[in-house]
Amino acid sequence: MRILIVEDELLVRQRLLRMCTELAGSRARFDAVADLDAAGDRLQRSVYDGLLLDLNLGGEDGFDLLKRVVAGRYHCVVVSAHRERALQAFEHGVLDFVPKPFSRERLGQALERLLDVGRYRSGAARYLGIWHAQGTAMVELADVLWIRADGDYSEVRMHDGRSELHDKSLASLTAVLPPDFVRCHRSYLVNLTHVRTLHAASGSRYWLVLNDGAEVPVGRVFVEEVRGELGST
Amino acid sequence: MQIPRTLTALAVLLIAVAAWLLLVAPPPGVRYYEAQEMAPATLGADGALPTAPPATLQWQPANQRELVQWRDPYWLRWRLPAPTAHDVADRALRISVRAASQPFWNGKPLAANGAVGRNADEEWPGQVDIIRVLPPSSPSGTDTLVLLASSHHQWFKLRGADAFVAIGPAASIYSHGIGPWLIAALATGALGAACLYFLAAQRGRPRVPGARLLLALGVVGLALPMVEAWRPLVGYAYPWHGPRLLMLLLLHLAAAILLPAYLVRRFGVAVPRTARMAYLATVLALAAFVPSFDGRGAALLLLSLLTSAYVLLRARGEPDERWPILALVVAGALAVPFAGGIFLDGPYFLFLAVLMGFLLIRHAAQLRTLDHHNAQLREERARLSLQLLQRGIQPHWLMNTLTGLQELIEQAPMRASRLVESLAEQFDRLRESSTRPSVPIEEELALCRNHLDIVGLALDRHIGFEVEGERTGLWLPPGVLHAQVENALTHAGAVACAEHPFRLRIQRAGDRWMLELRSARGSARHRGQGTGTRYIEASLAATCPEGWHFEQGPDGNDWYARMELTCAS
Repeated sequence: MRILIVEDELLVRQRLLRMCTELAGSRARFDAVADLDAAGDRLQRSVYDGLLLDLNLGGEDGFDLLKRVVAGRYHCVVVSAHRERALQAFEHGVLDFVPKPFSRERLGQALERLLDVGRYRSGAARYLGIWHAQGTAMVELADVLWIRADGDYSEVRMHDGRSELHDKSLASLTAVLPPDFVRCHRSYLVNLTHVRTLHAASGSRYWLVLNDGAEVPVGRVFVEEVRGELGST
Repeated sequence: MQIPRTLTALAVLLIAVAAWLLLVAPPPGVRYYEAQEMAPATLGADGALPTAPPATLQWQPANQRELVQWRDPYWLRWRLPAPTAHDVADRALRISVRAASQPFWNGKPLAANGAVGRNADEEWPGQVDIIRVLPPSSPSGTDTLVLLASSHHQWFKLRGADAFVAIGPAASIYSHGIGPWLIAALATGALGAACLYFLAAQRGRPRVPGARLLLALGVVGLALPMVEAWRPLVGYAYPWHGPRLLMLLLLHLAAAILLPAYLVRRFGVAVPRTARMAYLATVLALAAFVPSFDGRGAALLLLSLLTSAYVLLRARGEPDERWPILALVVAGALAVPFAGGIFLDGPYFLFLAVLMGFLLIRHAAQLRTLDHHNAQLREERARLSLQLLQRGIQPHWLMNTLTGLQELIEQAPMRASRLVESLAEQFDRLRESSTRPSVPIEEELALCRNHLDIVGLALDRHIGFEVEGERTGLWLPPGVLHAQVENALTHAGAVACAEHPFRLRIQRAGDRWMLELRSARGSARHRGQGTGTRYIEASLAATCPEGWHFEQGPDGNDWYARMELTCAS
């Protein structure tokens, strides 16, 4: 796994690099840069799986970069002095927010989430960043009906009928999506707030009927979980 | 706003003067007669007064200018038409002669006014104005009033004797003269109230320009009607007439000096010293050399009003304040040549009361405005003080520094210890600076260098701050250089600042200071548009409202900031 650290303060950068290397051991390699230009350059040239990002770099707002990176395939952990922006960062789909100054243990927790994304689910994101040629568009998750696996990417279907392609895999997205999104099929995540009923047919075939009449298949292994989630909503 | 205010001031003046003129007009049935004949009197060796006017007197037509010089006993005679039948009863006589006198009505003595004497020792001064109830008229159709008088206590050389009598119904003779003074009393009371209001408004507040001159004018405005009313309302022995006229002249002189002086001070009009001296000399010359007291008063009044109008026309700004005053002053200046002595006898102090009342009320309003402005300034300073503290402990810088400190504790404990000390010193300096509206430049430089020391310790590099130019006596709003240093560190970065030290150049031109700070330019796009710049501009505006300027921007490889202050020292 390869992780990029973006931090403009020399001592803080040194601390992050030193601690992350010690905590991750052989599970990850770390690079560190001091500004947004160098970060953008690195992200274009190399493939990274995760990002440790300061929100205020040289007086510039790191949220611009944040919006771009959360739309990418890698996950992001924010390390910042701006504690008041933690909620906003989670809404944009970051995996964790580490307030400065931080202890070795707190950084270790965040790093664990980054290194083992599959183990964690139910984030607090409200938006999903989608890369377009013109820039990054923000999609409100409340408007999303379902998300389907599309190779290494994910197809996101909105209630107005539009579809967008997201760079993260279905498994990777699960870590940041809110609890409303439930795995109903090997290839589908569905937004329970848009589900009208669960239908069963002969041959143990199941599907969900959404509010707009569309249908989403339900895998046999997920039926009980879906039924349970629907019962609790 | 100035038009309604001007009209209001003029209307108040016109109403007061019209009411005065209405009440001062002679009541019906009252007739005035100047002295008609005069003759020297000869008293016996024992000084005994005659019991009736002698028949052998050498009468000559009365001449007031000659009469005013007579001191020894003399006779005055009036031949008056006898009244018609319907108003024959309840008649009274008012005699106005500056002398001790013994009146004879148709040859019969009336009550004496003082005691006529051959010299000052024998004479007992009489009142200037006396009233006597008249006996029945002569059946011949002509009444004769003869007055034996002496004026040994007339110390002042006056232009005319002003000897006259008024005859009419007793009620009119006794009450006449009180009505107009009710108007004067009302105006004086209003002026007194305005003075008290002004004093109350002034209490505990910083003085505004001309406050003392205005109060002195108020005192003149209050004293003038009192001295004027002394004769008609209270009366006095004739030797006091000269001092009273002198008092009035001095009050006119004071008003003639104070009114233009106040306006010059109030509206900040630049008047050369020679012009002031020339005005003062002219005023004194008029007071000394114009022939009569009335003439002197009128000349002084006219000169002061014309000068005041000139001052108001030369002043700039505040039209709401200037135009009503100018309207009143011009109205007064026009009234002097047209109304002359009548204006001086009454409307003048009404005019002065209205003008003074207006000036005092406007001055008090100005004080309230100033008070409001000062309260806003205090509020702004408190806000800036809080902002300075908040900037000093802003989370991003403080949390980053603490995180760096965590690392230093593990990497280099000695440096960590120095960083803690510097941080404590920084907070102490910020706390101290935030309590004051301005600080000496040395304190501000120490705050900047302390901040750079903290950043340098984290970076393990020295960040320089060089100062060039004489700076003795320079005071600045706290944090204005510190904010620029923070901006440079944030936008250009600590490394760039270490490679490109801060260079401050200080220049002085008179009371104006110029401070040019050059620092690393950096590449951040939003530099110069954030809270730091807003803090600098707000601080300069609050501390140096008379004049400040701040500009900044890239200049080659530098970030250039120029600050100008006129109130720094």
